[in-house]
Amino acid sequence: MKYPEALQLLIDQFRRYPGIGKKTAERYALFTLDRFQATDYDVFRDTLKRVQDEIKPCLQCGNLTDEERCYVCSDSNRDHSQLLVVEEAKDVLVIENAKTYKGLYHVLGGVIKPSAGIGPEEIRIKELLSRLKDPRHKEVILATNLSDEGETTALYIDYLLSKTDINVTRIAHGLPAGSDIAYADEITLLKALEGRKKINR
Amino acid sequence: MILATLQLKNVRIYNALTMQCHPKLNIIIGNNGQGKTTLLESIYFLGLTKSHKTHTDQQVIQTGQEFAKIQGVFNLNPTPIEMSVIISKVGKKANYNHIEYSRLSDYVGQLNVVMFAPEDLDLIKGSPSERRRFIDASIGQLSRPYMTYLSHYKRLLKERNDVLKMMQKQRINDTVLLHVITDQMKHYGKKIINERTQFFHALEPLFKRLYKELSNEFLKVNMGYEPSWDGVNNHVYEKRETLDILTGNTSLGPHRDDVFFTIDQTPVKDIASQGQIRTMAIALKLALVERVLEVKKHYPVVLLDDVFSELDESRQHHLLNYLQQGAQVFMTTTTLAEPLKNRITDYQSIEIKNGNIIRSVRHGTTTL
Repeated sequence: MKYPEALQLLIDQFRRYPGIGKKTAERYALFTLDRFQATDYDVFRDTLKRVQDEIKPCLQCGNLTDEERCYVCSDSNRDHSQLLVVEEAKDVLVIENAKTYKGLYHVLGGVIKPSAGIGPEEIRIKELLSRLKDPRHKEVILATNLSDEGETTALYIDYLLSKTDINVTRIAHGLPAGSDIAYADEITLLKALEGRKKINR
Repeated sequence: MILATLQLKNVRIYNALTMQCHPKLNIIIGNNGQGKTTLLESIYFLGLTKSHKTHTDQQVIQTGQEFAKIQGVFNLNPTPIEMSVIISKVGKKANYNHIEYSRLSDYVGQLNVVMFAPEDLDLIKGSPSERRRFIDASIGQLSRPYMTYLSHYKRLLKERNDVLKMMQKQRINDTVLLHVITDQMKHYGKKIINERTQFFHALEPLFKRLYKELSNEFLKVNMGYEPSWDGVNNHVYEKRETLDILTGNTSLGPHRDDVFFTIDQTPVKDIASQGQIRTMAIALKLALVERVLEVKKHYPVVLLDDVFSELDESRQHHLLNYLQQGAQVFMTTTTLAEPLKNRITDYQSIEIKNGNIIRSVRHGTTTL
């Protein structure tokens, strides 16, 4: 069946989202048409406009914010000695939700992947280096993903910092918390064995 | 694992096929182009999720169809096990006992298969890439982490080559990036080299013994792993760096490995007769059969594609006797010659014509 043009255009917009297929996009569009009051359209339009205008990367760490600096960077109670390096702003959200990390962040905005044309220049490595001139920062925790590209990026940053007196650490690989060894795949198990450590008594 | 039933849908010439299999010996008879090899290819695919001849999976899909399905039921007493592979234009899915494996490397290795095909001659005298294909398909079904190491290695090799090409064109000059990716790639390269070294260490004595048994010659044959880099000496790797940048390609590592074959210390390519090369190819595959038995404690399913026509009668008999010690065998032939027919008693003959079974006869005493 053929949709009226405007409706089809709305379906096409929804389809751009990750994980949304043709059917779901149709449901969303028809739901909008069916349930939205005039005010809902205004709210939706205004919200989109506000997101476009107000949300931008934190000037310091790259996290998403509606101010110059994100709430982590402007919080004087955070531990300035630690910088946790992540790939994307969404990683900050996840770690913040865990409520255990008290230091600052640095969002790279991607990973090094030469085959996709992304070199060290294309992500926020330079910004990281210039931030580290501040003597309050003593440790860099590399929390890029445990993919080949995440590993390349971590090793690259580690190499650049090897000549400084900054302490560089990498998050541990291994079994997820609460998991059963019997259900782990071989590669995870191998990584967990390689990364074994002494029990602190 | 003993294959009891094979089912095909949209696989090359086969629209739909159900084949009941003999637990010991299945002789598939038919003229050329009737679909004999496709049956063996399908069993191979079921075990290794790859074809033994084509490089692109999609070629096994019947022309005009969207997908192909290969399914096998294996007689494991008391419960049968079902395995299936679905090949579509977007990829492939593998099921073991109704469980879908998202990672094919976890699926491969549960059904072990060894294929003997006319193309095996290329293993001895063909290009190194043929021998690397053999190495990967063989170790892949014996060691689970191997395929994972290999896929990491290949991905990192591509990244390294891209960096080298950018440096060659002087678009970047970042030796730190080059070294970081090189170290990562070497990390997996070393693991691959270790696995290959162990594999050939075990294979070599088996190969020598089997060649002697098959040939009755007193010549000294040898074979072994010929790594392009030893996995230890980092200095040679660094020395190649300038060359690598110049060519925009990685010149050392497992992707350049090879296997050597010699007779009286001379490379076979220079001196061996056609017969010797054929015997070597068979000895190599038989050595793999024995290696699977050593590691997995069971025989692989053995697939013989048109191999017998090339051998004289005594060798045919020897090979078949040898394999009949425990392996389930599927073999193709255009005609079942009288001498061979007289020597075997317990088997099933399956006549194939244009993608259909036209006659299937069970001989002997074995029942399923």
